[in-house]
Amino acid sequence: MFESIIFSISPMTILVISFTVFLVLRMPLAFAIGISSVLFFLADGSSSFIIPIQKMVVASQNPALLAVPFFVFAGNLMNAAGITQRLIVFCSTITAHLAGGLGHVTVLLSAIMGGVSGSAVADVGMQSKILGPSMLKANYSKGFAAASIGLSGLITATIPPSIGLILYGYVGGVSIGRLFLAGIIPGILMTIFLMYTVSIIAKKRGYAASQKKAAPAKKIISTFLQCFWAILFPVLLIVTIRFGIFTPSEAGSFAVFYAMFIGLFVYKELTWNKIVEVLKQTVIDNAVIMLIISFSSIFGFIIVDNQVPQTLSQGILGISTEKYFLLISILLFLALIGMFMEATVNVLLLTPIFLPIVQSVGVDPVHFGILMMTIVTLGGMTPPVGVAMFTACSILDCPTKDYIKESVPFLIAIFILLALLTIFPDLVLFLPNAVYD
Amino acid sequence: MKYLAIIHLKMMKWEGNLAYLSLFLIVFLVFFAALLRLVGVPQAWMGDLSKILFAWVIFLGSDVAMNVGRHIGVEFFEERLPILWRKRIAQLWSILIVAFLSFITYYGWFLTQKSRREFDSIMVSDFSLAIGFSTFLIFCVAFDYFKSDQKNKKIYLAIISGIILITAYLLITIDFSHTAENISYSYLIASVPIGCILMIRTTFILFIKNWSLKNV
Amino acid sequence: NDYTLKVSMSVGEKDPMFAGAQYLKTNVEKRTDGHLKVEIFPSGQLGSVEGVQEMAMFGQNVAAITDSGRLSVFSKEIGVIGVAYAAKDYDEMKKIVETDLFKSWEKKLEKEGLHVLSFNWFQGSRSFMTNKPVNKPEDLNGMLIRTPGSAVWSESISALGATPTALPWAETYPAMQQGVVDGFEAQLPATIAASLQETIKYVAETEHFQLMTALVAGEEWFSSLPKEYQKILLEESSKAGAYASDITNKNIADYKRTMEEDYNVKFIPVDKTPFIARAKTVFKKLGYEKEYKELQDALK
Ligand code: NA
Ligand code: NA
Repeated sequence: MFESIIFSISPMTILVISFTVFLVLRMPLAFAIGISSVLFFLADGSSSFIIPIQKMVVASQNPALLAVPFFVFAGNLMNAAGITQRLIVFCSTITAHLAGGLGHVTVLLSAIMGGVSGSAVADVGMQSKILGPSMLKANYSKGFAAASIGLSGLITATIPPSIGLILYGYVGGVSIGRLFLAGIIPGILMTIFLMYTVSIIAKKRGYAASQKKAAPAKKIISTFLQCFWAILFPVLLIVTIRFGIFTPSEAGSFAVFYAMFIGLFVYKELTWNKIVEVLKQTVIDNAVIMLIISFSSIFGFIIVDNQVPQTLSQGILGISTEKYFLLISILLFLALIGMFMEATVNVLLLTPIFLPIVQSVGVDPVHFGILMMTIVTLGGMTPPVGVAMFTACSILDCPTKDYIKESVPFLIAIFILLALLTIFPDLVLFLPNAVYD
Repeated sequence: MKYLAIIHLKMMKWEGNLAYLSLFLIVFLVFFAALLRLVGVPQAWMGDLSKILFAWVIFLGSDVAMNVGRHIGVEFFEERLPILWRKRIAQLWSILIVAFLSFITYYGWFLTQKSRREFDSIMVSDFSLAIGFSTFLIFCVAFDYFKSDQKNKKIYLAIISGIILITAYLLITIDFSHTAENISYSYLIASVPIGCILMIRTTFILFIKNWSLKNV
Repeated sequence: NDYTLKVSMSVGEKDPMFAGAQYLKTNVEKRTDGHLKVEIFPSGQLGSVEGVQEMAMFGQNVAAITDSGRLSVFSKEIGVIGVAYAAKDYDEMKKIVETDLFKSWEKKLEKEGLHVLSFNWFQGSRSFMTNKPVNKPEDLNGMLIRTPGSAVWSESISALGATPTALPWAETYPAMQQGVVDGFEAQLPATIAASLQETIKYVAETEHFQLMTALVAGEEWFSSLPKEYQKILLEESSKAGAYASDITNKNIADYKRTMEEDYNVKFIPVDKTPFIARAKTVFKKLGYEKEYKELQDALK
C-alpha cells in the first residue's frame, strides 16, 4: 500500500520540484513547463512519448486561440496608427480639471484601450513610455507615477477583449462571449475605484489640476470626434461578437483590418513600413505566449490523465463543502501563487485544476473567471515577482520600494472591489445573463 | 565560425519573413472566411489552411523570439546569485533545452511520418505541391537577391540551380501522384520538429557567442 | 500483474455510451477480480477521437469509441458503412456489422496497430439540425454544417447538398450560438447531452447515417494482456455495446418528446427519396461501389 502511494506520487513530485527549480533559476517559462512535463513522462514510463507532441499541436489547431495573435496585432497597430495618441488627448481633456489629472488619464486610458493591447504588461509598458515623462514633469512623485500606471493596467484584465479571458475560456471550456460581457461592469467599477483613489492622493499631495474649470462641452465634443473611430472600436467588438456576426477570433481579424483602415485612410499615420514593423513585433509577442500555451497543454494532459482535479477535490471537499469558504480559500491561494508566477501561466496551469472544484460547489464559471483573472493579473503588479511592476519601475527609473509604498492605497481600493465582486456575483453575471438569456 | 554566423543570420531573416507572411495571410483567411460565411458561401478550406499556417507562425516565431532573447523567465531570484553562477546555470539550461528540443524533434518527426489524419476540405496532389513549393523557394531566393546589395550573383544563381536540380531529381526518383488528395496533417505537425531543430541551432549559436564573449 | 484500460469518448456523462462504458467497467473488473481496471474519460478529456486512436496505435492503454469514418483511414473498406444511407435502419446496420465480411475488414486494422473490441455501439441515426427548415436537398445549399472530420462523412454531407466543416463536438455549441455554422448533423442522444437543442429550431429527419460505432483499443496493448483477459474484454465489450444500444433505442422517443415539448424544436418528416438518390454518387466518388455490392450480397 505504502509502496504504491510512493509509486503513484513520485513522477508528480518530480514535475513539481523540477518546475520550481527551473522557474526560480530563470529558465524561460515555456521550457520550464515543457521540460518538467517531459520529465514526468520519463519518470512515469507508462505513457507513449508521442503524446506530448500530439498535445503541443492541438493547441495550435484551436480556432479560438487565433484571437490571441489578432488582438496583439490590433493593439500594436493602434499604437503605430496614432489611435492611442488621440485617446490620450481625449482622456486628458475630460480630466483636465481634476486634481492629479494625469493619474486619471492613465486609469481612463487603460479602461478605453481595454485589453486591445492584449495584456496588462503591454499596457503598462506603453503608458510608462508615453505618459510617464509628462507625469514626472508635472512633479508627481516617481512612486506615484509608476504605481498609478502599473496598477491601472489591472483594468485590462477584465475589460474586453482580454487575452487572459480568452485563455481562461479556452482551457476551461467557458463561453468567451459571456466572459467578455461579464468583464465590462467589473472593469468600469475598477476604473471608478482607481480614479477615486487617485483623487484622494492627489488632493492630499496637492497635485494641481492643469486647469481650474472643466473643459467646455465644445472642446470635449471636438476631441471626442477626433478619436471617435478609436472609441467606437471596443463597442463594435462587443456588438459583433454578441450578435453572432463574428466569433471572438474573427472579431480579432476584423479588429486588425479596422485598425489598419483607420490608420491608413482616416488618420493617415500608418505606413507600409510601420505595418511590417508591427507584424514583426506581433509574431514575436504571439510566439512567446503561444509557445507557453503549447507546452502547457502537455502539462494539462498530465493533470487530466491522472485525474488530479478529482483527487484534489475529494481532498478539499472533505475539509469543507461550504461554497464561500472554498471560493475564498482558492482565491487567496491564487493571490499567493500570482505573486510569484506570471498571469497567463497561472491561467493555463491552474484553471483545469480549480475550475472543476469551484463548479462542483455551485460557483458560476464566468464569475470565477473574472475573479481569477483579476487576481492573477494583480500578481504581476506586486512584489516579489511582477512583470508589470518591473516594467513600470524600469522605464520610469523608480526604486521598487517607492512603487510598493505608493501602491498601498490602490491595493486597498482593489481589495474592496474584489470583496464586493466575490460577495455579489450579480455584479459580474448581470450583463451576460441579461444579454444571452 | 564567420560563415556559420552569416548563414544563421540569413536563415533567421527568412524564418521571420515566412512567419510574418503567414500571420498576414491568416488574418486575411479568417476575416474573409467570416465574410463569405455571412453572405452564404461558406469556405471550409480557409479555416483549415489558417490552422496549418498558425502552427508554423508559432514555431518559426518561437525561434525568432529565442534569437532575440524574448522568451520570458523569472529574474527575481536568479539576480541575487553571483555572476559566475548565473553564467553556469544559463549554460546548464542551454544543454537541458537542447536535450528537450531533440526529444521533441525525434518524436515530432516520428508522429509527422505516422500521422494518418487529413484535412478533408483541401485537396491537392503531391506533384503540384512539390512544384508549388520549389517555385515558392525560388521566388524567395530571388526576392532576397533583389533586397541584398546584389554583389553575390553567383552564389544566388548556384542556390537557384541547386533548388531546380533537387526538385528535378525528386520528381524523377519519387513517383509523385498527380491525383488530388486530402492534405495530410503531417504538414501541420512538421512545424514542431522543424521549429525545434531551428531552435536547437539557435541555442547552439547563442551558446557559442556567449562562450567567446566570456573569453575575450 | 494489473492492467488498466482508459476508455475515451467525445460524448458526455449523460450519453448512453457512458452508461455502456460503466457497464463494461463493472463487469470486467468483477470478472478479473479488479486486475483489469477500466477508467472512463467522457467529454473528450483525453483528446480528440483521432488523437486517442493515435495514442492507441502507439501502444497506449487507451480505447476510443470511434466511428467507421475515422477508421477508414486505416482500413478503407470499413468506411463504406459511413456513407450516407449505407443502411436503411438500425436493424440493417446491426446485421451488416455482424457479417463475416465486415469482421474480415475489422481484422485488417490489427496490422495498423488497432484492435476492434466490439463494433456494436449504436448511438442513433443522424439527421440535420438547423435554424432554417429543410425539406429537400436544395434547402441545404449554402448551409455550413458541422460534421466530424473524415472524408466519407464530408463527401456524404456535400452530396446531400450542404457545405461540411469539421469542428470538435465540444465546439459545436458555441459555433451554433455565434452563427459560425448554420447547423450540424447529429443523433438525438448526443444532441440532448450537449444541450444543443437550445440552439436549433428544426430537425429534418433525414436519418442519413446509422451511427454504429466501435470500441477500439491498441493492438500492442491488447496482445500484452493474458489470453483470459482478452477473452473477457471482448465478451464484455460486446455486451456493453449491446447494452448502450438498447438504451439509445429505448430513449429515442423520450428525447424527441423533450425536444418538441420543452424546447419547441420542430421535427420535419422529410421524404428521403431525393436524399437517397444523391447519396448514391458517393459510393462511386469514393470508390466504394465494390464494397457496397459485397455487403449487399453478404446480407442475403
Ligand atoms: Na494605465
Ligand atoms: Na507578483
